[in-house]
Amino acid sequence: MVESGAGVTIAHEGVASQSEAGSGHALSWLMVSGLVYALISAVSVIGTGFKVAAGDQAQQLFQFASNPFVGLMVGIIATALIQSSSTVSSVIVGLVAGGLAVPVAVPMIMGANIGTTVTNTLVSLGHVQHRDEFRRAFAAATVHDFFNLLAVAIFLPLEMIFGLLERSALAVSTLVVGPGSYSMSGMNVMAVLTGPMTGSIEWLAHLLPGVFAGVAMIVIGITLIFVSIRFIGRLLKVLMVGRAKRIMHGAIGRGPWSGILSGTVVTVLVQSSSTTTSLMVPLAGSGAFTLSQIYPFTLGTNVGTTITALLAATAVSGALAAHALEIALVHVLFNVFALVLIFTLPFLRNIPMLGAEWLAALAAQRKLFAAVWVLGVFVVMPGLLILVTSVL
Amino acid sequence: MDEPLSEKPSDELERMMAETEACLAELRHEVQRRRQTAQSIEIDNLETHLKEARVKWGELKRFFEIVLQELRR
Repeated sequence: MVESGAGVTIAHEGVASQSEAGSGHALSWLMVSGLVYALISAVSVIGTGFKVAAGDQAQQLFQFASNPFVGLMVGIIATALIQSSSTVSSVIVGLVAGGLAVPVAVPMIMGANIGTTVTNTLVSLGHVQHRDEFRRAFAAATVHDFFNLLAVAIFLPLEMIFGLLERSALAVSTLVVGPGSYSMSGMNVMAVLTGPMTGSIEWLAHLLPGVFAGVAMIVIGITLIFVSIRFIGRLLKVLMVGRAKRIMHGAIGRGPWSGILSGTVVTVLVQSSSTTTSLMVPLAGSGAFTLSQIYPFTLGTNVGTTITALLAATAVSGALAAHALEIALVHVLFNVFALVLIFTLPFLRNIPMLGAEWLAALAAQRKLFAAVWVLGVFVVMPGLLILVTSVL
Repeated sequence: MDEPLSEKPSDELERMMAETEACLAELRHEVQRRRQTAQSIEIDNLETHLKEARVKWGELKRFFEIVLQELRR
């Protein structure tokens, strides 16, 4: 009798804990939905704020970044500081919605791609105590740096000469939105849904006079994007870990394209390429995964991370909505084109791996090389270029 | 004492080659299996790796201390 009673109690506890976990998950999903709503709304708020603050001067305000190299460096520094390309690309989408010209924003988007690689490079420095582990971890991290630097070295000149990405993105956005239309009327459901939140923030900000209202909207928008992306990432890490495991298990032993696909999907699931690329650093450091297995997964994360800004762009309404979608598509196409071009051409494919292995071998011998790389690529080079351009 | 290879008949050499290739294939398969098992174990620890997938400023400080020590040497 006692045993049966205990069994019933355990069964009840089991059902209760399952039900608690279920309601916990439901609550987490509700929070994710709320945060995605806040993120999408925030992009529109930045756009409106920028219009209010800059008025017709939007182009002049970003005159300093009209030099594509400066735009690139602004993207690198901003992303390296915030450690989230999704945040920076969403802010750029908001600024384009507020009047920032797409050609000025394209190099910034490219810079965001380079800047985001700082996180896993910094994570790899934590393996410094053991030489071989450090060499493997640092190579796994810097293969991302080398790939993104190579992608920019190829596509920035093409963009400056032919406007390749801008034209392609415009063609795709026209296809999505409709030929000759800049109204995005077919996609305004999102704008209507976000209306109450954007309206409330704009009403609050307009309690301040003139330009200050616009500045307040920009600050609130950037803060909302930063906070929502950070918390979405935290929640999704817990909610999606099981699915991410299944995807990664499924990719084992299936070749590079499967690795690329799993990198893309896992990044979409956790909404952070910094997280997924940093995740691979200890896996490479332990020697369980080789650099040639990490490399395709890393390339997939580049594509997966573009979904956030694309989602945010769909909520932008008004005359510049198509441009907002266009810059979000530039981010997608840049990463897809780079992946297809560099990974399918054998002479280009191996350059990032060779570069990463060479640098990691040097850094394992003398840590100074690792320090010079990190500070040089993410701080000194961008800082110097901006300084020199602003002085000249 | 083993007979020198030059004195072995050709069919014997071919049989030895086939055996060696089969053995090599088996070894490759075993190495592959062990590597994939190690990868599966790492993926099973994904929760821990996800928690650790962030910059730890203490470790970064230690890294730069090591760099400074290298420079002083």
